[in-house]
Amino acid sequence: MDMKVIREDDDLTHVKLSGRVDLEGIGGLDLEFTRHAVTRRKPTLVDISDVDYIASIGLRMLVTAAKALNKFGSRLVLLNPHPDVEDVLRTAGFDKVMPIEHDYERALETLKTAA
Amino acid sequence: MENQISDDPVAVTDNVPATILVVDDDPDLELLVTQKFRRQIRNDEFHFICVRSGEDALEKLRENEIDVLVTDIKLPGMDGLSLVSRLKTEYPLIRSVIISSYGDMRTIRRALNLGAFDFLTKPIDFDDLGITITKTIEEALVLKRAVHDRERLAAIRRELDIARRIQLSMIPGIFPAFPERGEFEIFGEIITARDVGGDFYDFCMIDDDRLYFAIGDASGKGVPAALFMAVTRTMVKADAVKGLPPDRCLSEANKILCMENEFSMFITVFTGVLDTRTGEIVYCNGGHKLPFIIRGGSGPEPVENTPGIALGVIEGDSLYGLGNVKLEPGDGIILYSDGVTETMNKAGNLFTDKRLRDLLSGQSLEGPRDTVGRVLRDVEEFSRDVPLKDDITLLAIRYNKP
Repeated sequence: MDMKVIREDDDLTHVKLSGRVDLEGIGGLDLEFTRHAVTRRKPTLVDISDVDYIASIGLRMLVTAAKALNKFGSRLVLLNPHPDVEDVLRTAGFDKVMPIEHDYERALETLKTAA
Repeated sequence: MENQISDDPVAVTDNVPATILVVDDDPDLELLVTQKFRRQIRNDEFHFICVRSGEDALEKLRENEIDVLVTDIKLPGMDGLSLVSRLKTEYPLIRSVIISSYGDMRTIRRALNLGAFDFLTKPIDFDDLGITITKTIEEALVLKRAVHDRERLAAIRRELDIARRIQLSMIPGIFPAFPERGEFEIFGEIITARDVGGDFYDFCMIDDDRLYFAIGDASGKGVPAALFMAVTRTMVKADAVKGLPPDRCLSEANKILCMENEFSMFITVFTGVLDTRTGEIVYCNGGHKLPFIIRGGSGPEPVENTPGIALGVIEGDSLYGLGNVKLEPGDGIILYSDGVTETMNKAGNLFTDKRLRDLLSGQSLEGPRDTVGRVLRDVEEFSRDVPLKDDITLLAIRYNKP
């Protein structure tokens, strides 16, 4: 797994994950992810278009961040998942905690709505 | 689903000073070693305990974790050779250095035969003292570390063994499960991964006509996953046998799992009730992979999803809903965990839902045991030479007749 910070300002945290989000892939990056996504407490957009596999530990990392952000009144929105990954997310019902969007502008709109 | 095994560093030997017990009735040796190793003593790398007799040495051995013993052969009372031979039986991890007078090869050889690691001769050469003791300490620490690693490995194995036992104790494993009933057949199997995931399947009769069944997969691995699974399985089943509909069973369990879940664990569960008089199934999906319905003539189709989310993620009153599907005589339902479809082969490819679907197409007539067996064989063949990363669980039911 790789993580790239695209934008961090007063309105938004925008990060991009890529590769395999499983135990081996995450390595120590979950702490890094949490540091960017959660501790800033800003609406967070997570681009997962280049994630090709997500295991339960990866789901846990995302859900934990989303729930923490919700507590601060912010949201976490997932952008552009691969169909297989989207299937995993929707089957588990996680789109109820982290909305899934396929369009950047729409994702920004969703981020503005209340959690 | 996966997670790391607890990884607490138990007494990492690098950070603990090596403890050296020095035994000599003559105070000179104590002066020599404290002089020679003053830097290591100051830096807390070496810790010396000095005593004047064999008896005192035994007392210190009992009270402290000693790594190296340096002893003069000639001592008042118990001598150095007896001390060295006691080490061999009572403290096999301690390495020892004996000190004898120059040229006393007979005594030196006896000491080495008794298990001493090295020797020094009097008058003691300052450099020789340093080299010999340092070398012996290194040897003792390597040994200590090896034992520590082995104990830790054994602890991990024990933990996984506990997890596996928890898991197996949760699963009905006797088949045929209901030999007296001709209306349906059921068969389930779990292949546990080395690290033990948190899979389960479960079933029982609620009353004369209704069969309760469930499959689940807890996030994480090892004992935490096994316990989370065990608690969930028991809560869901307790409500199911009371006759609560599947969505209520999951909703109630979810409420409790969300209460104290600081580690954000979650578990996917699909549960249903088959009415053996009609073939009708009422079910609820809590975020699990959708089971396939296998009908004669047409390919396997996943059941329709219901409102639902993996248990333990969020609380809410109307998160779960019901679904219905009717089995005609000869139809079957097969439930599985993502360990099946996410099994990886040597090239790093996943087994996939599609491969499972293809495998199940046009197989309506065989019994549940054959269906499960065929899937497991195909998964095994697919993942040859690759260790299982996740549990693989399958539960199949065939409805025979009203």
